Amino acid sequence: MDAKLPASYVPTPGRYDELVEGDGSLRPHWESMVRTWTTLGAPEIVRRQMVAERLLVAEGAGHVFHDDREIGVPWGLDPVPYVIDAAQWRGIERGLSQRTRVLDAVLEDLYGPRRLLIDNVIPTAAVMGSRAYQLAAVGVAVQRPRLMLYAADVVRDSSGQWLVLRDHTDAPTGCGYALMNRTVLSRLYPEPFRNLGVSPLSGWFADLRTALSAVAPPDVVGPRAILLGPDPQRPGFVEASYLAAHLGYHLASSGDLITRGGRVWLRTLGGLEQIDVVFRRLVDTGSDPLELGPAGTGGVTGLLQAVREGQVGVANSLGSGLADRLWLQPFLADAARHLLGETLELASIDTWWCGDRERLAAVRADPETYVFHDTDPVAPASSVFGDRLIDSEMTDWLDRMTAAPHRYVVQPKIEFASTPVAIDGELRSGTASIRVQTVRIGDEAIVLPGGHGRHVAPGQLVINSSDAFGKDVWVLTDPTIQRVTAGPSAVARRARLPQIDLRDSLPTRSAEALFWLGRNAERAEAATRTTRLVIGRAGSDPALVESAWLGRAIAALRAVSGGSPVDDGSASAGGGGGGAAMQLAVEVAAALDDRSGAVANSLGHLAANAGGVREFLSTATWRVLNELDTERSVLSSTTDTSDPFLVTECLDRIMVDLAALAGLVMESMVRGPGWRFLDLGRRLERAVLLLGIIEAALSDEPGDDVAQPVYDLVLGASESLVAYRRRYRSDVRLAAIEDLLVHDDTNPRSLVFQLDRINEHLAALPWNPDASKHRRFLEAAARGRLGEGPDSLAKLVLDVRGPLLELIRELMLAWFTHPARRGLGGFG
Amino acid sequence: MRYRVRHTTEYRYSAQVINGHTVAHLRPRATPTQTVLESEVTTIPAADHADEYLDVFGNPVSYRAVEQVHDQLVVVASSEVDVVPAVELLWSPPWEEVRSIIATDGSPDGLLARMCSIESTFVTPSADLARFASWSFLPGRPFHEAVVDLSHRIFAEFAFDPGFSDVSTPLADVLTFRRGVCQDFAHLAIGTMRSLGLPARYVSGYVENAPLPGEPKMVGADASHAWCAVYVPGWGWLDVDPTNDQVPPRFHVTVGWGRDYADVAPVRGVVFGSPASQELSVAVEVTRLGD
Repeated sequence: MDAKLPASYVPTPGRYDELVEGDGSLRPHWESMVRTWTTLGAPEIVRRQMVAERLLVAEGAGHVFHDDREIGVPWGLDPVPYVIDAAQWRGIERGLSQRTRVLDAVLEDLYGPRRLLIDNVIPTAAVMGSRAYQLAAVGVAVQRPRLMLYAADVVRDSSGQWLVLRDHTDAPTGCGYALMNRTVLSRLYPEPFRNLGVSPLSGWFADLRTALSAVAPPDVVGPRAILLGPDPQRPGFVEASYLAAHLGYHLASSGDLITRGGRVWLRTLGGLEQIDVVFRRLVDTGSDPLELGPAGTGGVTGLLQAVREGQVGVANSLGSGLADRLWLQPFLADAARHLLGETLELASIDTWWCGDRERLAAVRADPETYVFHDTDPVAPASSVFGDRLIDSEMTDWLDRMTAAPHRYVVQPKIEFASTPVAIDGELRSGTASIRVQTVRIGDEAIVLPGGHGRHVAPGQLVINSSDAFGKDVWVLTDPTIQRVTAGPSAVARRARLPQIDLRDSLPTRSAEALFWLGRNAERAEAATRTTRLVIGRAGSDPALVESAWLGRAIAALRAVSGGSPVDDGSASAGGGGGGAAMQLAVEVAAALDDRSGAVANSLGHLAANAGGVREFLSTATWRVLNELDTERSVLSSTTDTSDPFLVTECLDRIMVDLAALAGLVMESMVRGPGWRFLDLGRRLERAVLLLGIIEAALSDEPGDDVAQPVYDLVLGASESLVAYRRRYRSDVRLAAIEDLLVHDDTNPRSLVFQLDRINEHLAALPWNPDASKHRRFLEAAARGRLGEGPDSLAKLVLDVRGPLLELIRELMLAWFTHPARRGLGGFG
Repeated sequence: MRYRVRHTTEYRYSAQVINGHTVAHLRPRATPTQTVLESEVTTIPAADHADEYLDVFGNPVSYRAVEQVHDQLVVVASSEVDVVPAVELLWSPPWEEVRSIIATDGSPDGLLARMCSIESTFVTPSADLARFASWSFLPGRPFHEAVVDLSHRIFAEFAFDPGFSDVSTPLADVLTFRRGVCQDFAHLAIGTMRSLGLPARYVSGYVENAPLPGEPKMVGADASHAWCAVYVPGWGWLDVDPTNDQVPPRFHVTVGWGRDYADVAPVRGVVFGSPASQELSVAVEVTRLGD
């Protein structure tokens, strides 16, 4: 079948079009995609787009922050890839490879001999005016390259010429997004993906790992690298954690790293561990409050000092944000000639410096024809179209430009090529830029054969574009070249360095998040299961609500969902018919609600804990966590919690997903310290909650009329009802219940089972303070010196709960106390 | 003249801090008119880690890390320097020509002059400053004469008032209310000149308390002092102390220079811990050891 251009696609006249030749025929490298499209049809495309978005959520990209924006936007993926053929790509590759070297040379010069300023190739005012010049880093010798990771936004203009819109040299984002996009889109169109010979991305990431090891101090053998990311909930965290997981590095936040003795250390459970390479995803100004940015903005205090003393390599080198801003564009070609004797192969979009008086005069005379850019990194509105400003705004811009012209650059408005995008399943022509990444190893710059494309909505500034639609970039392999390897490049294979085993080190931040992940999962599970049971039983047996069962049910509900203990008065309440039902409804609503320990609350914390340790969790685990998050919002938006059908439907789904989560944790997490912390949290919480249920429902023997339903509730809430029935095949007796729930070390829900596991974890984890005291207690308790009968049950609760809570407190003190930080500002 | 300087900075924290990093510009640099005989920076508690290096301007910087729990930090700088008078400046080009001369000056001083001709953290040139400048910078006037006149005017028209300002007081307020301390006057003179595109740097140092018997004490003694310097093409940097109206200053010890206070703050740092507040006290003694 010949591929035909769909009727919906109308190329813009007079512009280069990615899809269509000048004569209206399809470009050959798009044929396979267009054929697939035509076959699938719009409704199927729309459906696949929805699948794509669901898959992205599962990858962890539910909300993605672009660039420096504070507000995340829902992540969308254009189901049309940006397809680029091998010949076109070679030009981009050559151009960006050269640009990596040029920008590295510019940084090396401006942070070293400063020939570009002394020889007046770049006006000093232009460099100083950008405020991105970190003078503290000038003269600090660093391990080359200064620019290890570089990204450029490139776009085709209306004549078909590729242009660089912007360079990213500080902490370039995008390679993680490219990987996410690829994971999803290659699954949407398996067939064209295979047939077209799309270049794989994985080799480049192996190169990235090699490049990072290479910036370590020269005498280090087997350097330890870490990815320094923003705090969870900050822009960039999703990509940083995705990247950490892919590269196999620990993800550290600022608080996880300290400097001592002029070296950088990771705070781990086992103590401080020296770090040789910091792969920073934080910008310069957020990297070191001592020398590079204001105190209190995050970063590692003393990081630049550690670099100065040659004790750590930082990629990109501190201060490299200098080349990130548009101020450099007007001078880049001259700098390339001056430093390397080379002509730029890939031009920037025309950019002019306003510090040039004639240029400023021209801008003042005809401001509507320009796009203005404030190059100050802290400027609020950094880029605007001149013709979209109202008079007062224009006056304001021109005044500011006149007062400090060296800070501003202008660009002409230009038309871009059109490229296919999907709108409601139809193929239409639109505009897109792509962010391409390079990594530097030795003298070579290796270009990621792909990228993170961005669909630019009509009328939006391409450079600011932070809209929701990403595009995968498919670079086609050259059919004349035999084979494309998915492995690392030749240069990386030569430079391969020993890998460091991180199995035994666990950053304290991760340990804490995993510990709480376990606790909150158990809390959510107990609260969900108990609420579900109470609703079910009350519904099928309305008379029970009027009986003494009610008080015990409420007490148990509260015990597992963070409620306050029931006092004797309300426990025996149960008075009038409507009153009891109403009372139960109120209690159920509270157990589902947002109070600490209730279902929605625990699920919320669970999501936050998981977000902080993304790199420990598999994609399947993420899918389950995302489902749980969706169910939490469904639960929270269920206004009528008294409708048992709606509520139980939701609780049932939550139960299944929590079970899936528990299963994944047991079956797909390596039994390292990370897993131990998660399981320790779960076991401690389960023990405490079990004691709560026993106390609430069994502190005295229930009357014969309600004994059966009360015992059912206790066994059900402890997920032991089936085990009980199979073992005893009789009416439920208290002694047998106690045996199963407390002493039976084969029941994974029993108290003794939990104590055994806790004891094992404590023995395996590096924990010293008073451990022997706790372990003696745990062993004694587990060895069955626990009494029997209702009296002894009450005593058991008292005997065991106190020491357990004490243990939890001491664990948290020993492992998770973080020093607060405070800057000393404005003295001297 | 030989001077001994002892500069003590003391922080008392309201609660214990776990560790502290300090970056100090306290060791005097050598200059064409100053020889450094000795200088050292010590801390109490003693630093667990220390480093000395030169910053981008060539100033000595002392890094000190106290990596133990403490609730008080004392930073003591002691130094001895010899100072000789500057060579007299007899001629300078008309101020209008300075800008174009330094634009192509390929020397390290030319580069520094260009770096010190535009805005910086504490100095924002403005139309008001340019107007203020216009009374001294008359057409065709030799650069150094205009600078001397500017120093006179700041000395005569502005009140020294330690209660008025702190580090964060904007230059515009100093100009409006006509008061401030040495650091404000240095920033004011710098801003005035930069508003005309002229090169002026900030100088941090000390001044002798009562150098001349029978004459008034110098303003700015007993603490860190600050003044500025302008780059006179073909001659070098001319120091200007508007607080004492001395061009060049005669009883001054230079520690270092930069674009403004932010580049050469005597002591700054970051501590870890959660002290609700801190008390700071500074003492400076400048002793003349001989002529």
